Amino acid sequence: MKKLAKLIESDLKLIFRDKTLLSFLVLPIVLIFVFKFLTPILIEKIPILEDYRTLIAMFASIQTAIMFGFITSFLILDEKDENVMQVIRILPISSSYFILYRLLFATVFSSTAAFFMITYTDIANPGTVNALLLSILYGLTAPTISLIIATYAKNKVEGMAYFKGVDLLLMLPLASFFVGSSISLVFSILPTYWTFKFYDHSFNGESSLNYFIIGALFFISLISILIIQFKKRVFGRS
Amino acid sequence: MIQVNNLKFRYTSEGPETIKGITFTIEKGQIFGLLGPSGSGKSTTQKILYKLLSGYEGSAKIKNKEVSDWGKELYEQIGVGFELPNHYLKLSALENLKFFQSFYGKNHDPMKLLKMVGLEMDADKKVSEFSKGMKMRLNFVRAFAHDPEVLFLDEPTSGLDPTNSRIIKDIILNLKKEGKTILITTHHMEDAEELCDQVAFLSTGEIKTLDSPQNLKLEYGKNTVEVLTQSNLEPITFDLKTLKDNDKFLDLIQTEEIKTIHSKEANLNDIFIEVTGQKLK
Repeated sequence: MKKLAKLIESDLKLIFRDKTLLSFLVLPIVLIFVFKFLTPILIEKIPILEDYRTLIAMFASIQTAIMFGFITSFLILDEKDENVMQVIRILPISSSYFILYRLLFATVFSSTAAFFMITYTDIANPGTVNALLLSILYGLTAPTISLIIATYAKNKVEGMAYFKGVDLLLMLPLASFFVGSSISLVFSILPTYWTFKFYDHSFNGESSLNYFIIGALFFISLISILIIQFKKRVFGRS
Repeated sequence: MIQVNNLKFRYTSEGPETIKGITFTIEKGQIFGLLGPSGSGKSTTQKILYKLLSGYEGSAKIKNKEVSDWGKELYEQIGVGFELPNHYLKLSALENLKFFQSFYGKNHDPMKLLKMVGLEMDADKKVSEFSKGMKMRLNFVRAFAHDPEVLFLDEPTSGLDPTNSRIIKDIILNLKKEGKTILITTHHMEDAEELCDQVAFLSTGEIKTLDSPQNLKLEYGKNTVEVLTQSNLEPITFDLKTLKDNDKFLDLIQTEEIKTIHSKEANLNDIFIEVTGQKLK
């Protein structure tokens, strides 16, 4: 526990001392308030948006959740740049402990923010239990994005480009709600397709647990593959 | 403490051998120097010993246990001082030390460590504001902050001014007095000569010679003394072994004003070039 507390303390110091990371930490809170107060005004002015409540909530939640993926990936990119990874490898803790902590750190923050976005903004609240399950799926986008950037980006400039690219990819399944059901399946190769489907069905009171299970398994499989890649490429061994 | 026997290593299975069957032993409390130019295999050997590289052939043991059999507990026993600075730049020197120390069971007082290398006044300064020399001093103290038995130091005086280089060398000698076993890789022959009980000359992945600096200097040096006097433009050379019975020498030092007098033992740099045919830098 002492080690874990020290890791969290050090990560928070690193985030608070970096203006970019700090802004990404504050951004989810800003987004929650913006969507909370702006959405009803927008719906009042443009009534057709009423039909797109769930889509707005899906978009808002994913944008909130990925911020923490960005933060942890940039913490790791800094460690790569500053050669600290070399020192971490010779610490008496396993590399898995270190990686899992970082991913858990991203997931917990991300899930919490997504939960507040779903419940507090009340744009499309599917109920507490479903909101909790949704938060888990949204939370899992953070380690996914974090591992992709930290594994494949060589520096922060590349990291930013990866972030934008992956963000776009994760939002792409939103398009599935505008196309026919057969074409919409094309988007099922992306994990957020299952998150959005679960959101849609649970909000409309339809059977939805299958979407949650498939989504969670999809994310966990993807994260596992990415962890192996991360260990191989960043820690130099699998 | 460290036994390396016929150690071989290649980075890729098809690639050439970077380490070609080297053998050496480091006893407890010894300082051992691996000397060689860039690309000779010094850092590779160190990385194998502290498990940053795996898949070696032959044997490499620390405390009588094969390196490949050690788990993460190895890092409680050893400390590593890297050649290049590697710190969290946004944390202070003290925060860096405390962070890394939090993973170990026993630790030295971090402020005392900083004081040892003259960084106590900069303890709360962010490492990003440090010069390279300051970062290197922080690297150095971090290596033994958890009081390990074995230390691996890669170019410990690199980037340091003579005063700080002296401080680091004195600390290394004190660590030896405390019974620490130290493996140093360097291409600073003067440092090796001063610090090491034994040195191995490494070239193209092979140990070309291994002995104490003193023995090497005697073996490869000339047994002569050169005397330069006020009246002679060229130094006069005398055989060292017969010096006490050499009338010409005795007469010279009694009657002439001596400008310089030097025994002609070789320095490690010259010996390295003679043994390996390579320059160090």
